[in-house]
Amino acid sequence: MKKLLILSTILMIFGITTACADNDKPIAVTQLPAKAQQFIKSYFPNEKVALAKVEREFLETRYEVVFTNSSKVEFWKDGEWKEIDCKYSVVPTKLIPTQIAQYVSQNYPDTQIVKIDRDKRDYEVKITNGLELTFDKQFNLIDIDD
Amino acid sequence: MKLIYRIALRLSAVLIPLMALWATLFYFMTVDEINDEADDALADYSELIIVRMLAGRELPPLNSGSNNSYSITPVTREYADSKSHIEYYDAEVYIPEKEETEPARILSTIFCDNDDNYYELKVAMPTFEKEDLVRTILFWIALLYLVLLLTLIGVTTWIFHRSMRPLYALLHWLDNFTLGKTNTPVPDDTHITEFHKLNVAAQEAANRSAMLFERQKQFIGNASHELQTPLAILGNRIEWLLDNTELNEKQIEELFKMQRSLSHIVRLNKTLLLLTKIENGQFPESTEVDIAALIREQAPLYNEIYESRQIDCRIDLPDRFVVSMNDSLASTLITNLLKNAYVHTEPGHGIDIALHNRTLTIANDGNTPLDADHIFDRFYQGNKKEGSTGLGLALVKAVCRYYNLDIEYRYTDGRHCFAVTWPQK
Repeated sequence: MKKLLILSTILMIFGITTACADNDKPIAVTQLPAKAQQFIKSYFPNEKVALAKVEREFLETRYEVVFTNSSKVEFWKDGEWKEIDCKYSVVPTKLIPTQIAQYVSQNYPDTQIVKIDRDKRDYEVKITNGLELTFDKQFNLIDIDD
Repeated sequence: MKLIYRIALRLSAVLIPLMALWATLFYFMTVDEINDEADDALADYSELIIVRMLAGRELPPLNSGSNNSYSITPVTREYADSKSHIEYYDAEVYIPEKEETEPARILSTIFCDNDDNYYELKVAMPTFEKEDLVRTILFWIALLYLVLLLTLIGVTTWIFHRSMRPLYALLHWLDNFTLGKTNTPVPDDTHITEFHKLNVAAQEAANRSAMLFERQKQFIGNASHELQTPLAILGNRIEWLLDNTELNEKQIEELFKMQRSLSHIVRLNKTLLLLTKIENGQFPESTEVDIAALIREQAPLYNEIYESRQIDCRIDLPDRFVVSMNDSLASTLITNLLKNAYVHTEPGHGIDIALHNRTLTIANDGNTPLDADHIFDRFYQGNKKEGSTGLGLALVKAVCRYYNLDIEYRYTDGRHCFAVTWPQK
């Protein structure tokens, strides 16, 4: 009986937390984590924010900012950037790790980087000719995808 | 209640609510996930439009074959400030292709462009597909719940039954076990340690009781046998005293009393010896015995002995009823039953003796029913009667057991009724 009680309680808690996974919420720039605000000031100083929102999901929270020039930046919960998507412009050079920038300029001289995505394992960059390059944390190319 | 039903019941009692809880939870989580995914798709769609619009690129066609639709309207700053910039809601939406309204999920997003102009973007996605999906999921979860529950309980019951086979074999053996007869050894067709131990223990217990039973039987037999000679000598000594000594009246009276008691002991001893002999199967020779003739011969004798009690004996017998029995055992059976009836009938009452359909019925009047469970036990006497050993019915029972006769006692309409049935040949 005791076991049953514990089990149902666990199930309940699990159910409630999952049910709490909620929709996107609008957020003011000033409500972003300090690190993210700092990031915007230093790398996108002239851009205006068209829309900022927070996505709360089970176990993780993410922030997303769309600038009026159509660039989009995603942040982790702690304010570290996760993805910079400048589909119709170019990712600021300062944000691209030098090894990756070098590799791209050497191998694809007439292209620009429009999107960079990083996580615990690797970097993914997308360049204007449509290729997607994946680098590991030591900046070795591990995958090319078109 | 059988153990297996108890287990199935308990299992159901635990599993039914638990699995119902699980199924409900699973259903709601799935529905939640579907809603979540639909909302995510809406968010992606909305973001795509916003980014394209801000970049000044061509917007996707208003209706790209799917039922999704969107609209962008410029709004004032005040309106933008008054409303949440991201809002999900359900509403009816008109779909031009179908020319009808459908329930839809709508995401409205307010954003501003570089020149501080505010726009409101509404993207809509019909929900009928989602509802279909949810309905299907509900159906399948309910079905899964039932099937899973039934399978689980069914399989458990089956496995339990299979695993408990040695136990049922042992129980079956116990049912057939009778002390004093040759029994088959305990079935031990198992590799399971626990069942094997149980079987060994059962076998040991059976062997031990069989040995004790045998020893007890032997002891009674030997004791009775050894007592015979000293009892006879004692009788002779008393007779010698009566014949050869000068005694006064008081002494003679006491000696007669001793003689009476002694003859009771001798009778008791003889009966015990007879019982032992019957139980040891020492009456192998069988002859054709006519039970009807035997009763006709014995009943008048008892009528004479108990004449003073004025018992009315009615006899209803066929001409002949021949069975194969040892003749002395047959007469033991009949005389003990008759004697029992005569001794326990109140003066002036009646006894009925009938023999029909291989069943001998001896009924006599009586006031209170006897204890049917113990009436055939040795030395069991409801109320002591002078000259009764308390072994008569035990003898009857022993003879019946020896020949596989069916003996039954019942009390109906103020009569004790003993019925002995000879099995069909």
